[in-house]
Amino acid sequence: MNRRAGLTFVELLMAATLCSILMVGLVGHLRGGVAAWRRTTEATEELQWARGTFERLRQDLANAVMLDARPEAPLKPSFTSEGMQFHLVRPASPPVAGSARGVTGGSGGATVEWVSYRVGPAPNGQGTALIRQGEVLWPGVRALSVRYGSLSSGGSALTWVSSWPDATKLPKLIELTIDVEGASQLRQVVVIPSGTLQPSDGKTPL
Amino acid sequence: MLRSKRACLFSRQAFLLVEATLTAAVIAVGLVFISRGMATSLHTLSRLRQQEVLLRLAESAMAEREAVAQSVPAPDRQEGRFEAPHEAYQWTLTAGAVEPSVAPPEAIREVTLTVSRIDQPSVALNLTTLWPTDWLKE
Repeated sequence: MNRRAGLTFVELLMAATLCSILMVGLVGHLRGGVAAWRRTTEATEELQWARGTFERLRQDLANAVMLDARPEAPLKPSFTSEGMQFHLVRPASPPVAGSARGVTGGSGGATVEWVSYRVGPAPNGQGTALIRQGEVLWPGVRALSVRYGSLSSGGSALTWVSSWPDATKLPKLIELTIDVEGASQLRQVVVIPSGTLQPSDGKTPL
Repeated sequence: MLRSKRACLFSRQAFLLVEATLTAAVIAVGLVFISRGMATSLHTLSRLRQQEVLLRLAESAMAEREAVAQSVPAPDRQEGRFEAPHEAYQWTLTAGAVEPSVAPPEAIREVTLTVSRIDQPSVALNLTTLWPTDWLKE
């Protein structure tokens, strides 16, 4: 006779209840942890995209130039409320030492680039993105709103206009408002050092 | 020895109340630490985003003020509010003398721009730069 005493029904019930309570607590914490991790990752990614985009914009606009202001110019810079396109001068890369022959030199002189910023459909077909000259700069951007700084008629206050009509000069201040999916709007003012801040006159700015 | 080990492994004694309580306490402490870790992570993220917004606003306001000051000299103290979506923030710009060690001290002024939340003035960020004196009113 090898008789072994089993658990009573009450013991089993209590053990199951305790296990359930424990599991509920653990699963709750696990779900909270996963949600927190996901939020942290998304927010960090958004911060990284924002930093990268605004830094790129700042660099491009710092080097922006009015290359050809003639009306018949093949590529005319434009600054509208939905985007902008302009020439920039990319400075020569710094000298790189260390070729096999001991030659020290850079990759060449300064280069001129034509760049455009706009919001359009992402190449992979997933929503929209902020696109810089065909390259996705920030996926998930729904809208880009651009305004340009000018001085009020009195000359002491700053006003913003939705388009820059002066085809011969660059704007000095550019305000970008970026609307990102699942996030709040981001606003940043960027300066073009070679730009101008022209006075506006009431009804027809600039 | 072997026998006593086997006896220990296959003991059919139930847990004591103290053992069960200790286990529950250890698990509870673990959960509390996990919760605190998550809360800290979220709080840090929230502060990081807050600082990022403050910095972006401060850089924008400074760029605007500098551009205007190059056309029209600015007063020693200015203040204003931001437009939507940052209407909860305000800025203050003050100009002061630079330290005598900076040469020539009369040609430049130290300008500090403070961005803060209107409802929580303690949430603030200072951005300091140097302006030529002719960007400011006499």
